[in-house]
Amino acid sequence: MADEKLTKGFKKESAALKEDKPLLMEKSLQVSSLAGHILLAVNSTLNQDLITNALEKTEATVDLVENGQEALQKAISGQFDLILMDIQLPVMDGKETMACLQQLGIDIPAYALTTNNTASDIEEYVAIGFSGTLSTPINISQLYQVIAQHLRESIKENNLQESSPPRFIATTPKLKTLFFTELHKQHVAIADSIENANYDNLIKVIHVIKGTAGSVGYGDLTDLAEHCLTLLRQDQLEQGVQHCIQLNNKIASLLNENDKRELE
Amino acid sequence: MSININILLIDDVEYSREILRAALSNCINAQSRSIKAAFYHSSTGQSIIQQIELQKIDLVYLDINLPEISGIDVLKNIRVVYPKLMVIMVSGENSSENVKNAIASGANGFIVKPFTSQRVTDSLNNYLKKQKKA
Repeated sequence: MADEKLTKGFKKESAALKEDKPLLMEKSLQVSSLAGHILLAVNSTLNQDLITNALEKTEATVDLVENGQEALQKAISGQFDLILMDIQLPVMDGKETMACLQQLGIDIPAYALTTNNTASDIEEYVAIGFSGTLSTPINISQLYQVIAQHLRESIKENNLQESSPPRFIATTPKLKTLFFTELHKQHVAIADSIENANYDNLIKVIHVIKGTAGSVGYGDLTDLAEHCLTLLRQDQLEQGVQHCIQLNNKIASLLNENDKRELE
Repeated sequence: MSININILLIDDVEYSREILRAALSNCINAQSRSIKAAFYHSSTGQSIIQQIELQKIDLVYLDINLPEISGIDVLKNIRVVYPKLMVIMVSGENSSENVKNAIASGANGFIVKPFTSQRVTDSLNNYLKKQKKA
């Protein structure tokens, strides 16, 4: 059963590449109109340069990482149309990274960049979850074939598309009430933690704000909270605390606005 | 035929659970097939095994940052008794440590807060796909 699935996937991929070849030539490489988000996980500078240069001709955005662990973290938090990943990567190699993506159910088309391109190598990569392979050194027309398959055509008039998908925003009155009740407590807790230099507690409170405010429509609080956390965790305490005060002032004005709304 | 899913949301912050519940309800309503979801919740990682058994839980959303016992330890406990139960980790951070621990402990998904609707839909679809295969 597993073998059957494996062969099927492999055949499908090879066929897809062959079928698309004339189509792409016909279109005379209209790569400039392709848009989407690509996660590029490559270790060699040569491939990094080659691929990023080639992708610059498209409208795709590229997130570049240099090891498998970072690739996995990016894939978890971002929304990508395509992953191009070296098999030889530091920290966690391409195969391990793919195994983790599969375990977490992250189903983004992914191509292995590798010098191992025998039929049995390709079969192995497809079996562990890759959609196919791209041989290195990178062949640009092969690269364009792959991105043409997975990226969408951009609509020129609609160039203002967001670089990341919108957050889920809950708008039920119950949630808003819960949010503001907690925000009130968090406001006090932030002030207390700063006064007592209790940074562990400060991080804890701001962590919750970061994870929730964006989902009730206060994305700016989430972004500012994230910035505070980064500074505090890097032990840039003075700057971190300043940003926390800024965050807390923002929270105070939100609470005031909300109180006024409730009175009306 | 409708599908029944018992979903357990574990998070110590009430409105954090409510946000996830609202997002899941939206995505369940948007499905073409009829799904009846019952939501259960817990604000701690304590007594989760008993809760899973009593409420016949099919799908768990588990926050990593819990007081007393961490979400990762809760996941490890769940895995001892329920190796195949689908558990999606939820966290404000995709730090390498969180991700590594979640994978090593057998998580089936990882959602970063604040999340997109797509991520929640993906996790539900993965559950439905697994059910189909079983």
